[in-house]
Formats: sequence, C-alpha cells, structure tokens
Amino acid sequence: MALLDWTIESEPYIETSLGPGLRAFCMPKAGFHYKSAVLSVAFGSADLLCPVAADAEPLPLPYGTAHFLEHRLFERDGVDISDQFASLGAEVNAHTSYTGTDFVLSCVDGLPDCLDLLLDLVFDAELSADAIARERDIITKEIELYGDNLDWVSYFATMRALYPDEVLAVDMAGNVESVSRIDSALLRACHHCWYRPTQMTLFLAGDFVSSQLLEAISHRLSSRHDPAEAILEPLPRASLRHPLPCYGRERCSLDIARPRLCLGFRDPESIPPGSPLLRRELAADLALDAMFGPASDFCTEFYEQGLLDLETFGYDVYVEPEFAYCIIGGDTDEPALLEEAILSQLEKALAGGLDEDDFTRIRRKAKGSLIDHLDDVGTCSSLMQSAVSRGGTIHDFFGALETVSLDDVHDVLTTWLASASYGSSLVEPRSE
Amino acid sequence: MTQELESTPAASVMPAPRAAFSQHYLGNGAVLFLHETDKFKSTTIDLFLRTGLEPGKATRIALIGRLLERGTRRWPDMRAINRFLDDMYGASFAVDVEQVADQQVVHASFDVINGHLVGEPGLLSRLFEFAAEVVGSPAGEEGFRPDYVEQEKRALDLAIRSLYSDKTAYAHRRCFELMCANEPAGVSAMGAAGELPGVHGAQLYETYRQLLNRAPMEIFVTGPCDASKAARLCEQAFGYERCESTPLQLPELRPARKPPLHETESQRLHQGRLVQGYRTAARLGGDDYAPLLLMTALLGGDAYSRLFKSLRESSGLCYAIESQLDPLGGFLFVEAGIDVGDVTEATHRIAVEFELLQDGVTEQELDRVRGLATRRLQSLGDSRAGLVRLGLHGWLTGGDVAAGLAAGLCHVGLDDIARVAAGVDLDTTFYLH
Repeated sequence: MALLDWTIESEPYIETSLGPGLRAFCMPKAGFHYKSAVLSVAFGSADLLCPVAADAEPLPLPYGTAHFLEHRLFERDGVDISDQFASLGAEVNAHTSYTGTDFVLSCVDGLPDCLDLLLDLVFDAELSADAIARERDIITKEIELYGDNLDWVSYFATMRALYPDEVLAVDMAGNVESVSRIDSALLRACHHCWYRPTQMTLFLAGDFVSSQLLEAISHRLSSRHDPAEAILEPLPRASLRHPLPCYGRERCSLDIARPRLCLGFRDPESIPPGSPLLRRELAADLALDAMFGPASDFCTEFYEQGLLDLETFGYDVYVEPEFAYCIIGGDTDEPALLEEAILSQLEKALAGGLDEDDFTRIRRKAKGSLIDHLDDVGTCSSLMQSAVSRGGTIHDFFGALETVSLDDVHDVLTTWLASASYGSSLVEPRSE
Repeated sequence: MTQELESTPAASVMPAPRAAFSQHYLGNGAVLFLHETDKFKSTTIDLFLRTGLEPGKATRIALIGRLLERGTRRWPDMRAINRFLDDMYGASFAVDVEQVADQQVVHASFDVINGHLVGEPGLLSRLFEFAAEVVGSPAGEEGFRPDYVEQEKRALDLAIRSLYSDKTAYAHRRCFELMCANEPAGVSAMGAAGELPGVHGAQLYETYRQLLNRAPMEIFVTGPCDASKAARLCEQAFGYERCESTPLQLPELRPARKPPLHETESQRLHQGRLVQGYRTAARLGGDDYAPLLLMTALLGGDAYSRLFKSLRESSGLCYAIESQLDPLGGFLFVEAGIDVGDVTEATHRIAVEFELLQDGVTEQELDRVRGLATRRLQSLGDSRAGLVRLGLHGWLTGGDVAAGLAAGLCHVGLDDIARVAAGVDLDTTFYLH
C-alpha cells in the first residue's frame, strides 16, 4: 500500500532537451509569483584537470579554479552584471560546490528576458587579464572571512580527517597560494571545456507557460552553438568510494566559546547513480534520524545531561556518485565523552538493529518534509537539481520513500557507519 | 540596455497587494488573522505573546520560551513531543523568543501538511490540540518541572556564551548593545547570563502566568484550511479566560548620539568585522518608510548597490558588505568584513556613499531598486514567514502596511531619497578584529 494518497506524479513536471543538448526540467507552480531558475554547470572544485587537445596532456588546475571562474563571469564592461538583472527586476547569485557551479536566478516577471541574460552571463565570458588581480584580492578576503566561521572551519577539519590529501579537504574557493596561480588563460580553457550546453542543466519552477519559454531558449541556444563543433569531453572524476586508509584525527583552534566535535564516516560502497544512490542517501538519513534525531533516546538523554546542545548538535549526509560521507557532531564541553557516546550508540544500533516502528515513523516524517519543500519555488528548483546532478529525477526522492526498507537502513549501518572507518575533528577554543 | 529598461513594467502600473489576512477576535480578546489558501501543501499556526523588554524579566521570558519546548502534561518530554510530530508527517514546532523594537516576543510556530493529501483530514485539529497543550499546559505540577528549569538555565547560559563563536552575529549584537545601552531596546531578548543563577521556579511560573494572562496575543493561521473551522479550532485551543491585555506602544524614535561612539574589541580573527549602527527618522507605516527602504537598498542592498561597487568591486576592500534596516526600531546597520589596515579607508568610503545619496543618485538606479522592492512586496504571498512577519508589523503600526508601502514606493523621487538620507545619522561604530 502506498504511504500517501498524494504522489509527486500529480504535480506537473516537464523534462526535455533544448537546442544543442542542454537538458531542462520544469515544475510549473500555479499561483506563485516568484519564478526560480538554476543553471547548473558540471564544473566544480573537485575537477582538477582540464583537457586542451586530443594529443596533449590535460592542464592541471589549481584549487579554486571553478570558483574563480564563477566570480569572473559576473563582470561585464567593468561592472557587475547584477545591475542588468536588477534592471529586469531579477536577482542572481552563484555558488560552487565540489561537483558543479550553480547560477541561481529569481524573478517575478520577464522570465524570458532574465533567462536570455543568464545565458549571456554564462556563455559570453570576458575574462580579461586586467581584473584578475582585483578578483584575487576579493577571493582572498572571502577565504579569510570563512576562516573565522566555526561551521566552515569544523567542516573542513572533518574533511581533512576523512579525506586526507584529497581535494574534498580543500575549500571550494581554494587557498591563497592556489588562487595566486590562476590566470585568464587557464580560466578561458576551463570556460571552453565546461561552459557549453551539453555540460549544463537548467531547472525552472514557477507559474509560467513552459512550452513557449522552452522553445525560445532552445532557439537562442541553437543560434549560439554549433553542435558539430569538436570539443573535448571533461575527464571523469576519480572515485573516492573506498574505506578510509587509517583513522584520521584533526585538531585545530579558533577564538570560540566552546569546543566543537565532529565525526565523519565515508561510504566505501560503490552505488550506481540515480535511484539506487538516492535511496542510499535516504537510508542513511533515516538511520541517523533514528539514532541521533530529536526524537531519539540519545538526543533527550544527553541533552538532559548537558553533553550536547540542541542548537548545534546534528548530522548531515552528502552523497555523490564518486564519494559519500556523513558527519555527526556539535558543540560540547566534553568532546571525549560525546565521541564515546556517539560511537557507543552506533555499536548498539549495529548489534540490535533498528526498531520497525521507529523506521515507519521516521519514514512518515521524511515524506511529510519532502512534500513541505514543494511549497517554495526556489526549493523546487534545488530539489530537481539535487536529484538530476546525481543521475536521478525528483520522482526518485519520492520513489525512494516508497521502496526504502529496514534492510537498506541496516546495510548503511554495517557498511557505512561501521565505527572502524571514521575520522574526527575537534575545534578548540584558543588558549591564551 | 535602455531598451530592456523600457520593456520592464513600471512599478506604478502594478496592482497594490491585497490584504492577505482576515481579522477576527477570540472571546478572550486575542486577535486572530486568517489566510485561507490552497496554494500551499501545509498549514502554519504562528502565535505571538508580546511584552516590554525589561532587565530581569527578559531573562525569565527567554527561559520560558525554552521550557515551552521541553514538554507538556500530555507529551512530557522532547522524545514524546518529537515522536508525536514525526507521526504527524514531520509536523514542525518551535518556540523562539525574538525582539521587535523594544518588545520581547514569544513566537510559537507550528506547521503540518494538508491532511487531505494523505487521507488523514484530522491532522490540523490534532496540531491545534498540541499547540494548546504547549501554550497552556507545560510539563510540571503547579509550575515548571524543577529538573527542566535547571537544565534550561544551563542550556541558555551556553547559548548566550556561544554567541561569541559567531563573529558576525557577535559584532552586530555588541554594536546594538552599545547603541541602545540606556533604552529598553538594548536589553537582550536572549536574556543575560549573569541573571540566571538568581532565577527560581516559582518566580518563573508567575512570569509565565502573567504572560499568558496579560500579554497581547496575536495568532496567524495560513494555508489550506476552512476559515470558519480554523476560527473554531483557535477558539478551542487559545480561547482560555484571560485578563484584558496591557497595550504596548512603540517607542519614539530617538536621535543619534553626538558625537558618534566608536568602540573596538580585539580577538584573534582572520578578518575584522565592521558594524555601523545608524538611527533613522522613519519606521514601517510612516510616510518616509518607502524612501528609506529604497535608500537602504541603493546603499547596500546587493551586488547592484553603491557600497558593493565602491568597497568590493572598485577597491577590493572586502568580500561581503551590506546595509539592513530594522523596520520598527528605526535602526539601519552597515556591516562588512574588513581587514585592520583597511578600516579607515572603508569607513571613509561608507561616509562618502552616504553623502552621495543626497545628490548623486540617478533616476535609473532609483527605478531599479523600486522595481525590485515592488516585486518583492507583490510576491509576499509566496512566503508565509514573510507574510506573517509583515502582518504582525502592520498590526503593531496600525495599518495595512503592504498596501501603504506599495503606494508609497510608486511615488518616491530623488528628492525623497535625499531627504531621508539627510535624516540618517551615525550613532555607533563597532569594530571587532
């Protein structure tokens, strides 16, 4: 029996290919004023080699190249292109993750004009050498700013413990040294390789007539790009889906009030992209919610004892085809005790399994939360992006909720959260 | 570019937003605002209890907010509460203690998906039963549970201490405290750590009874629900007998201190945080609020703004800079991450941009921010949090602020921007490095 009467299938949804191969996904949302668009480029901070010619070695990329390129694309004739978006009543932003660069647009009316401008933004790069030095200053300031951010510092300390010597342990913006090695020739090579329709996906949500809009974008793309043009494909990313070679521990200090402890766990299993990958992610989410969520015995007991606080304690799950990990932790005055308590909770679950009633309850919660997400057009675009970038569709999130089993959750416990394969980080208050 | 500008619909032709909420009164005087719409897949309940910010009491109210989250007589602990919420398809529940001008606001929020989507039409009624318990029957006999009181005193102390770890929030709070040191608005809605040891259960429960009986109460219900049914459920849940509430007036806007205060604090940071607090002569609901809103956007709204262009794009002094307005407090803040060696130049450039607001703004710039602000207002119905927030602020300032603001935005001219900019004065600069 289905968990819910309502299904995602009853939401309007369109999937198509535009012009010379740009994939597009739309969720028309009647009654909403805002329209949201995300243009995703498959170039992220984990891409460290850029192919330049069939018979030449690929160009090694310094850390932070994708992020630097994202910043530079916003300049038009010496001013930020945000001015032009604002004149259309639209707002635009961008962010770079390990695996992609997302350009996020929101507007109320004039979506076709805004999308035209968005295509200009990504395709008509200026990348002049003059502004590189100033951009480097700005990015250095960005890196410094995050250097004081406890969440950020703790996250990358955990990643250094979990993925020592891998690019995942480095800020998406790179570091001061790597950024100093990025120049306009490098950015142009990367732009040529990744910023083209077949490496991009467009996600749209809001109240608009999809067919006319998509046709217009398709036309615009076809007039810009020659599908016969020979372009080298980006190289596949190396898989990091193997166990952590040895237990990693990172300690650092910051001017903060209380220590923060985080435990990270790598998923060593290789899982096919698409619905199996999203089901694996859901199973991990359900396992962690059952063990450490607000309704768990663990959370109530250790909150009452003062070992953790509800403002910062929690967990996160990150799943990509090439790597997957989860992080559990928060602020505590007793890091050793909290670490022991988390590991002991995992061992208990591993030995005794999870309760069927807990599993059913948490699955209900997950489905309700997913439906709730559809009440925001920006979140609709992000959800589509999140599924598609990992080889699935938004339907797979709902499909996973119907098919996920207690066995899947137990499999996560035994293969992913087995405590032998974890890394930890501790950010301590700086001593005088 | 000119062509594209002309093709943008002018703000003046946009229809004014309709008042989203219908207003009702419960038998006990509490005010109920209903917005019935099938646009959303869930229904939210937002309940506000307001009281004046006062030292001592503020700490007790902050604790009460936390205790209301801990348990009720029927759902006695966090585990029971969260299991109930999970069973309700992940219904959400939180009690936040917030500041609005010089008032401390206990904000209890609840959200549940439309029961008809899942074949369980009773979900909303069950959520109201839960909300009634949270507000009216906290866990404990004749008072809050003593063990919970002690745990929450400890947890609140940690939360207050932890503000130090968030440098941006800490710098903002310090600037605000310095700015409003001798007025109720300067009392922290989070409470004061030093007062916690002196807080006792009986006194805490008395403050809670006073709050429940006398604080002005507003309830907002938005989403898919039948209005008459929602009104009935509200009456059942929150229609308990209470005294006539003590009315609260917003304070007069104060002038900035002369000369402005300048304070620095040294920690060990990678980058300093500069916060400048200004006092304005307008608040939401007043005639000059629309030009003030546009002036703030022109100054530091986003990447199109003057501060962004001057301090980031032209001079590379910072990565992040913004200006923000406190709509009821009449405060304006400029905040940026600035290195120690650049502070003098940064403050100089901010002052120059302020001066240029009086005679250096173009019609094109003004139209741009007017278009953005008008569209945001038009789209308010997409975000229930924004809708409820503006609904509450409108109630506190005595009018349909959305319609008034929409009309006001159409008529703002460059002379209005210059006039309100002249009325914005620097009060306090705080630099954390």
